[in-house]
This record gives sequence, structure tokens and C-alpha cells, in this order.
Amino acid sequence: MEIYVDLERCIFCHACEVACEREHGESRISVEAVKDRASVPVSCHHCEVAPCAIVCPTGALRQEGGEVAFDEGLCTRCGLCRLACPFGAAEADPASMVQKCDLCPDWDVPPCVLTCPTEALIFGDRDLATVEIRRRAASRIAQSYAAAVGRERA
Amino acid sequence: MIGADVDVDADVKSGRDLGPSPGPWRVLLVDEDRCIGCRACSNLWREISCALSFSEAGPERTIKFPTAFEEFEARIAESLAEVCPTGAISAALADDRPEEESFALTFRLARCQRCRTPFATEKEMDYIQDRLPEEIQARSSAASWMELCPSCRRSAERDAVSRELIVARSWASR
Repeated sequence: MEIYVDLERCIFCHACEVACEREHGESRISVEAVKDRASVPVSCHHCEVAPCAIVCPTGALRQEGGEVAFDEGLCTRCGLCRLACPFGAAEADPASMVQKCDLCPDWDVPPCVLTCPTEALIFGDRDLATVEIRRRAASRIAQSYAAAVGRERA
Repeated sequence: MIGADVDVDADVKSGRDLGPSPGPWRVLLVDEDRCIGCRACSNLWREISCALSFSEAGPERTIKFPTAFEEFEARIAESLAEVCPTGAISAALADDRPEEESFALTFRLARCQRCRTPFATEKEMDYIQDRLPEEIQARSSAASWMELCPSCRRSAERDAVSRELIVARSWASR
């Protein structure tokens, strides 16, 4: 299980950031606009081969099933995970533990996903997410096609 | 190896009372070749300080270690050795108290290839490079992500995943 993003739907409202901050005290997802045309949330990708877990000297970050789990008790705050993340998704300022998405194990669906007003965030496995994103893309194409046909008939 | 005769004068001047029998001392040993300049030890114990500085050679991180422990801090010595990711830190017993109060190691910092901010010691990045599979290090066409700071890596990721969408939206608004 992982959080996937349908970029077509993200409207730059930062609701996911607020929901995450309420849950963890600090947001582990960050949304920023690109060239005023798109907005992109970035959080931990829970990589299949996770560089953060490879370099973690104590096993505080480790791969468990489909996710990268974090055990605060083992963290030494050395900061190597932050430097090893290809996406800059693990924040660790020297004063605090690493801030990284843990998929909110206490929730059936993470609050960021529940909060997203456009359902741009999708919680599920890769198959579920790709099926959903494809279905939406197909529906957009069908709609614009129907609209074009409608204009021709009118 | 650090450690020499006890400098009584210095202790009298600094107002310290060493007591009748000062030894044995617990001294902190740091293997300069192994230490990569991360902040595990300085985060654990504030007596170890970590500072950013700029010299002619470029930006540097300096970590300053105390040379000796008080007896009641012996447990800290063990924790420091445990917390060090490269096993660079160890503690030993010495009969004499080291002359110097502290010693420092200095590390050159790598600059982000995009924003030019110094973001990690060169040795930290070497340590990571040695451990990651090559296919993870070489990603996309431009400069490797390893040469970017975490914040610029996020931007690069955003640019990459939104490229097609931006093209489509620019085309639609014409």
C-alpha cells in the first residue's frame, strides 16, 4: 500500500499538508507549483529498493513488505537517510527525528488521502492506483469527445 | 594519540580541582579516516559541537570533540561509540589527563549543483555512494540526484513528473 498522486487533479490547496501536520506535528508531504501550470505533492515513495534503508546504520529505517518503516527508538539522527533519498522526501533537521511518511498505521486510510478534496491522492497498491488513474484519463477523453460530437450535431 | 603529562598549571589557572588522584582518565579517540562528519555524535551529546565555516578551500564543517571524560560520564562514551555509524569513535583509559581540552576535525562540504548551497560533507556522500547500487545513483539524464541538495531534489522530481502535464496544459490554453 502506498500513496499515489493523480497530478491532473491536484489543485494546490495544501489540505494534505494540513492534515499531515495535524497528525504528526510537522507535515511530511509538501505541495509546490511548477511553472504555474501544475502542482505536485511529494512525500516518501516507499521505494522497492530504498536508499534510506540501505544507508541507515541502525536499522531504524527498514523495508517491511511494501513500505519503508521507521523505528524512532533506533534513530541516531545521523542524517544519512536525508542525504540518500533521491526525492528529498526525508526531512531531518539536526534537532529532530527524520520526518518521513509512515502511511499512518493507525488509520485505515491516511488523513491526507481522506482530506484531499479532489481525490488526487490515492491510497492503495500500484495496480489499484494505475487502474483508477487510467479510468479517469479515459473518462476525460470520452467527455471531450462527447462534447466535440455534441458541437458538431448542434 | 592524545594524552601527555598532566598540566597542573593550566588546571590551577582555570580554577579546576583535580583532587589527590586524578587518574585513570577516560579519553575519547576518534579515527580521522573513518569519521565522515555526520552529526550522530553531536546530536547525542552537546559537548561535541558542530559548526559550519567558510575558508579559502570552500565551505567546511568542523566537529569539535572533548578529549577526556569525567568519570560519571563514562556511560556517554559507550553511547557515542554505539551511535557512530562508521565505528570511528572509541574510548580508552589513560593514566594521564590529556593536555588539550578538545580537538577538532574539519570536513569539506559538497555544494548543490543547482542552488550552490553546501549540503553534506564530501565524505558523507562518498559513504552513501559506496553503499547504493549503481542503478539507483544514475537516474535521469541531467546531473545525478546525488549532486543536488534535498530541496533541489524535490524540485527536480516535481519538474520531471509534471513535464508532460505542463506541455498538455500549455497547449490547451493557446
